[in-house]
Amino acid sequence: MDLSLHPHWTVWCIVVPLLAGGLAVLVPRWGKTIGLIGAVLTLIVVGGATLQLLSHGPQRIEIGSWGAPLGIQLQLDGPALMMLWTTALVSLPITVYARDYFQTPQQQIRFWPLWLLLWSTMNMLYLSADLFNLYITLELLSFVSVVLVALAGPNAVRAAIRYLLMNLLGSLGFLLAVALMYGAYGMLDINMLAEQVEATPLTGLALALMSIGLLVKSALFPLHVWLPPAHAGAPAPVSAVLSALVVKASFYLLLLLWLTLYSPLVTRELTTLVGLLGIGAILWGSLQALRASRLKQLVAYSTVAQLGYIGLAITLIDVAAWQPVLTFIIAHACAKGAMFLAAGNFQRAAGHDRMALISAALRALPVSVFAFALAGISLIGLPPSGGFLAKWLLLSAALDSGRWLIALALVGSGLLTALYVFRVLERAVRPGAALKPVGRVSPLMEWSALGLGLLAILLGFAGMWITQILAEWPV
Amino acid sequence: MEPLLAVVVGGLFASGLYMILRRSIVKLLIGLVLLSNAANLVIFVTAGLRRGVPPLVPEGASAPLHTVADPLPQALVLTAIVISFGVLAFAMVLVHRTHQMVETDDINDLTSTDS
Repeated sequence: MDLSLHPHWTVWCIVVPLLAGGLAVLVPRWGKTIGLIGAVLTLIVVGGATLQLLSHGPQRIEIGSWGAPLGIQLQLDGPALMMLWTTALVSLPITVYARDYFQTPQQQIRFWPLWLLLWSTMNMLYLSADLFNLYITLELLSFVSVVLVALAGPNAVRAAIRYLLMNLLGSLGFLLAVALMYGAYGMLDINMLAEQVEATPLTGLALALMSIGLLVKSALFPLHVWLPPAHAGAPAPVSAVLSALVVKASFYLLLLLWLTLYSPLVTRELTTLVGLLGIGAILWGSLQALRASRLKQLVAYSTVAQLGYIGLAITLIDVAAWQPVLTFIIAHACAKGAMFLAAGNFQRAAGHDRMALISAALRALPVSVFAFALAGISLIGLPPSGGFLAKWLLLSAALDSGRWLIALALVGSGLLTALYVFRVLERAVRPGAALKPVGRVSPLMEWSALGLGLLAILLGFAGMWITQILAEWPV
Repeated sequence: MEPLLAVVVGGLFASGLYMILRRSIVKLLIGLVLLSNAANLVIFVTAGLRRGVPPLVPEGASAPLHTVADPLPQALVLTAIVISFGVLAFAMVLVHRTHQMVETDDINDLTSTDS
């Protein structure tokens, strides 16, 4: 039987984690097992979707046989496939990590359904081709993320409420834009809209509302204020997935809409503005990371800075389109996941994550330090890591089109990144008394962090695949 | 009818924005309720407020015979109402929980998240 002929792999990418999540609600005692099986199955299903794309090319699936413009379509193409794989590959180690991280049964019961629902929602976001459905996925995404942040206990409630309020405003902007688009064109399917969109003031307003809404959710400076407390205060696996995947999902959506739907309206001035915000994010995020008094805060501010790179990359979409941005998103997802998992290990061992006292924990957990260092190498952009590949693509696109300022910002910011990464690594080689461990860090927790770190490095060798997939199946 | 609803939408947006700029977190929440209702109303009005029959296809025909009301905005607005209801219910619980912890209604007391 030719498996690739099976028409529903794309739908299963959404349904498998959703079903597993539902099952985890029904049988909370088996949450750990269901989580792992669900994660592995989702990976297999994404593999099936890849086979389908390889043999049949881009797919449009009409749910319930209702075609556009009335029905909702799912769409599988190159960029969506890359995001599906990134999510699956980053989520699997995080799943393994979370099995040992959450200690009380109460936390386990609450975590697993939400985690699988989050995964399903992200997959749905990558695959949707309908504006209103995209709004629903965005709303679900922020909703589930907020609950996951609040899992950390009473201290995280303040961070959670900030996160919720900012994201609600972002969704509201997106919803209004959807309403305006429907009012103007009478349809919501992205592909059909893309053929019709004209540069009218109304469409411009929709573009502005949608972009601001998505930038709030992607935490681009200066709309990032909700991110550091939420990502630093959440439980370690949740921080990892929020920083690695959730903020990228809304960036992916922004890119998709700008490249397809709004391409007549996206001018050089607009992309330059986003690029300037990106430079601001790199400077501000790096500076705050250098000043941070706690490890997880440092990593969270590093996310703010690294999201600035995506802003910079967006200035190059007219010459390079998807490739540099997606490569950067994938490289950063692996690296930041590894960093947060490692930081979670140090926090668990030391009972806190204060930078001043963390060095004993760093010395006690060499594998996690190695994972952190590998992730740091990718963030700085040293060869042969995934971060290097992404920066190389960005740099060559910037130089080819003669944008020296962007090239300069790219090179200079690598130094800033190195400063805050070494601020942590330097503490691992300080002499001092041995650690009296407060909590137990299981080997699996260390190795899953290392796995993600290795993935961030290995990605440097996968450049050809990314180029091929994007060249062969564009949106 | 549409100009009147446009004014209502504008009023809702104005009062909603005013409310979310207040310092009290409960008022902020009320502001969000108003804003999401305004957005829902916009969706509802976008299709135009025409009189039309339900979009039912008679037996034997392949399309409705008369001018029908656009069913899509109604479906969208229903979904949007359900979502905003869920989100606001959750936000209310979260605000309540915050209030129990910090014992204040002032948004400025929430700025310190480094605890």
